[in-house]
Amino acid sequence: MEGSGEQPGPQPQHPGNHRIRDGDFVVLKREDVFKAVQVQRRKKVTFEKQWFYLDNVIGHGYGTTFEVTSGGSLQPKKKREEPTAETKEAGTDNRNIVDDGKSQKLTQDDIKALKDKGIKGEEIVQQLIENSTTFRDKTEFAQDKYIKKKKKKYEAIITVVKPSTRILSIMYYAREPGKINHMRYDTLAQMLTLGNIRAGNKMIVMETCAGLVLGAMMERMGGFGSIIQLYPGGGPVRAATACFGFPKSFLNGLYEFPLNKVDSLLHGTFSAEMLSSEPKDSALVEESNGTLEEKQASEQENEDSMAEAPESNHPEDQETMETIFQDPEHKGPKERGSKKDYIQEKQRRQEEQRKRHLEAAALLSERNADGLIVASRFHPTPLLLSLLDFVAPSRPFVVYCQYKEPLLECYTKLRERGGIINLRLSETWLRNYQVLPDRSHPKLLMSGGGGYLLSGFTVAMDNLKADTRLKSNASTLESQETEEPAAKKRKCPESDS
Amino acid sequence: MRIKENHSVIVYVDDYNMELVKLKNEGIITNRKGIFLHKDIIGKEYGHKIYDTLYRNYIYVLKKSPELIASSLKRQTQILYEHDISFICLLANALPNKTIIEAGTGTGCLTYALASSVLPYGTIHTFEFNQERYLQVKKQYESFYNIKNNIIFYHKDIINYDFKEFKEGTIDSVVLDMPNPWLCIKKFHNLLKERGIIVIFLPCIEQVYKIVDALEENNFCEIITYELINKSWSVIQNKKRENGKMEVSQSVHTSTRKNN
Repeated sequence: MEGSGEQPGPQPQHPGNHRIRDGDFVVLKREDVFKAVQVQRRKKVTFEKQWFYLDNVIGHGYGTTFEVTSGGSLQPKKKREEPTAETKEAGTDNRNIVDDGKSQKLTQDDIKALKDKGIKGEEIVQQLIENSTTFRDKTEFAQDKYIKKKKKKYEAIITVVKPSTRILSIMYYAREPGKINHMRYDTLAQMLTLGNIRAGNKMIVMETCAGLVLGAMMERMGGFGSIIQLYPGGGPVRAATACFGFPKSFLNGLYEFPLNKVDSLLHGTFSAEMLSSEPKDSALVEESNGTLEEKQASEQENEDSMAEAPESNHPEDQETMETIFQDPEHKGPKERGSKKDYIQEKQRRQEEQRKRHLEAAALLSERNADGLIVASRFHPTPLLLSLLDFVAPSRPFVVYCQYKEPLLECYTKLRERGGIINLRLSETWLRNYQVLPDRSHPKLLMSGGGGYLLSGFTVAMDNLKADTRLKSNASTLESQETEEPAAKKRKCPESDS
Repeated sequence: MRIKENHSVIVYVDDYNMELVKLKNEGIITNRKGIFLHKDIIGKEYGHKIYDTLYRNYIYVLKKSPELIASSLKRQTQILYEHDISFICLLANALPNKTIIEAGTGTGCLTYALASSVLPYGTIHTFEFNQERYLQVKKQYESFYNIKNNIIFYHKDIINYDFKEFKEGTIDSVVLDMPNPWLCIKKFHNLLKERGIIVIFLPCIEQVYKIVDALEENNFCEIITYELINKSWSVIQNKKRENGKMEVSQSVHTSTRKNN
């Protein structure tokens, strides 16, 4: 698809304000803490040391705030108008304030009693203020800070927001950076633009970031175009991808292909039989909805796990996830009548997967991808050296690595390979600021821990096809670079296209 | 895909010399590598070597992309770098079929990235009050066939503009790169959808104070301020070690959402 060379189609319908439905994927937000969950009736959810049901969220729009009430139900809470600042009694500085830990007259038991009585958070905070001997002596700023801190602890306001790359990448970086190789969200933002990820492209991606990079790419492409994901092991991990809640139509352009077959594809020795020789592996993919890695991950999960539904230990939940994410038509083994039906289903799914892999192989073999994204825990050099052959000339590629050194080596090897221009090694640092009257300052400098990027553009390799429009005198100048052809021809008889 | 006449392409001389060129049959490019004829480029494939008239040196002709556009337009006054553009696209949720307002157009680098992101049916409404710049960018985009239908250029001062023809609640995001954005924040509240986003790019900290005040007064929530610093490294090959800091640039972004 060549972008919008043709007339733009009908205006996309304005869905108005989307109402949350049963089964939707949402993100719970409390202050700066996020958690991705799937809305399911009567399913207990834990978040920030509280548990509740999401039933009452259904029917509301994104951005609605709720309060957790007794019994675990969520009540919508209107954003209060901030009380107009009455002239509060306050001190000028802290010279007379002694921090002896005894300034709060309410004990832990008193507070617990208040909570048990069902007193609202706001009330508890008010009580704490009144029972603090030093509150009046604090400066206004210190009072604000104190109130904010207590509110954070006792007022449980939860906002339900729509998943997006922005929110999910912030969430993953804060809660489970190890799963995404410590890729900070500004680095991910660079990858999406440097890689020119947009609707209509044919992209190749190899990532071990729980599917976050894949999800970001799918969001940017809006279901238009195609993505071929290369995966190590038995199958791709797509826990983060599920959190986006993409419509099923997005799956039509999503393909996957095993990394261990890439070499044979490049050398022209790949054949359909190679895929069906691994029934065991495919079975693993079916049942664990991802890879062995994911199984290990879910074993380590505590109640504060971030993306609950996809990583749940319940096989039923996993099947549900699989249904939604992997296969739109598939009913799921929940409805299996007998073991025989189950086996038939499994075979059918395996056959479909095999077909998909063959389609992916065909797409890759065209060697005309619009871009390559690599973001994994493996050393990037061997990956790049083989995967770049699938990319058309004049197309971008971006490699993410948690560390700089592997990218340095990659840079050198790419220079040796040739066919690459505009190689850039970069890193972004991020700092957020607290902006309050008379109290503005930077909060946190995030550097080095966000990963590094190597990016560049492909150009035609010199030795594949000598430019036939070249005059004879010019070819003598080029003779050094065009020396290879004979050897290469022997190596890949079928790839000379 | 063959290169066509009247299209704009990126002429790559080396990593630090790139130029945006509109191809005409009779056109000529002159640079340090020699003289290149447009007609030697038209009809060829992207990413292949193109030789000069004396067959001594070559250049590459590349497809446009947000990064290459930003690099080739760098010579003009610009404080928005590629990494800022990327971060803005993430914060603003620039995605397929969205409607985004941008002010000011400036060199059009950010416009290009936003427009690419909202393909196939989204729209960027971009405002520029300087007539010369408005005409220049508009003309340039005439030959950007992929995205020109997704951009509407306005030669208007967004601060005074009444937005009469825009219906309430139809804009997904607003992106501002202008000296005094606090003067036009108020009108965006009605234009934005629920949970709509405003992203403001500011070079100075005093501007940040002013904009945060204005946002709070106008009932916007979730105000976050970031500073983004880019470091790029150069790798010196024969010594097989990296060089160090080459380019450090800083910029400040404030992003906020419309309150329900």
